[in-house]
Amino acid sequence: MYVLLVDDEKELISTLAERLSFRNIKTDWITSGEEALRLVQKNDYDIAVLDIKMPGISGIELGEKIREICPDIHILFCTGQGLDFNYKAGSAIGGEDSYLFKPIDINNLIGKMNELMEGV
Amino acid sequence: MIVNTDWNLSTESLKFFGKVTATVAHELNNTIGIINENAGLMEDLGLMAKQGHPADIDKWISICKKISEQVKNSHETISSLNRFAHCTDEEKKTVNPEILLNLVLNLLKRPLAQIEVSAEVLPAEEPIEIYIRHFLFLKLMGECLLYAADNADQNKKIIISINSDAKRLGIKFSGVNKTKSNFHSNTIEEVLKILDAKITQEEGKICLLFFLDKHDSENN
Repeated sequence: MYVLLVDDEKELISTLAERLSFRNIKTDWITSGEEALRLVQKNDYDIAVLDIKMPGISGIELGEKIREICPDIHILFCTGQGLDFNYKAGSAIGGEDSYLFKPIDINNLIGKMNELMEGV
Repeated sequence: MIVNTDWNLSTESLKFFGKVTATVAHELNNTIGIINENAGLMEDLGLMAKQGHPADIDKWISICKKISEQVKNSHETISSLNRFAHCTDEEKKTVNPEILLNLVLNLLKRPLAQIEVSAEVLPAEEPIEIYIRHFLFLKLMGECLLYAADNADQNKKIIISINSDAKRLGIKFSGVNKTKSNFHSNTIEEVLKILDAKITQEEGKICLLFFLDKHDSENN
């Protein structure tokens, strides 16, 4: 499994990436949507985990653009907010139940990623 | 149509209160997220050490430091929120505008970071005290800061300076792109009227002028 994590909180995303690597999940992380698009064009990711609220391009917009570049990639959204999250737009890109609430439970994240890879 | 300005002002004030608290809630949630990941990383390293991997003590110490730093930042954020919340306790109060501006900056640092704009309050030449409706003052400063940040020039840095003389207080937000739209609304006008202030836009600046008696106090 090859995963891309995108979140503007460097401290959070780099630590999560390190923890995933301990579990033998190959992970890249990046703090900007624009950089994420460059990485997606270069690498063959299975899953992109995107923060919703980021400077510049938002997680939802980024999800749409990633989907255009890689139609087969699985997309998960992370949000610290409940009410503001656009579930309809998020589900249209990532599918039903394609979101996680912060703080992220790593076992929950891995469970969701495994489900996506197995096509559950 | 009859417009009830009191009602509009209350609604706008509540909106500002909501915006600030939502911003702080988001900030604290992120901090908890960072603490959560670092605590998880410590647990992972502990489990790995138990399985016979060499324990990296320096790494543990560095994680502990990161957690402490996040706790310290959260404490500062909570203190700012507490001070902000208590601004509604009294209608008018003697305050230092520089302290209030720094409070606004601290509370709104996240929305500014979201648009990659930084801001700084230049220290006043001498301590200034004013007797004012401080919640409305904070609201006005917050609205000005967000407007200035939204319309920041290519340097993406807003500098806030304060100056005063015997009867007036001036606050300038520099680094604004003057080609953008003017900063006006009915509620802003209402707040300016209540605070006895006026707002102007100069080349790259939003200027506020408060017609105050600095020596006015609760006793007057």
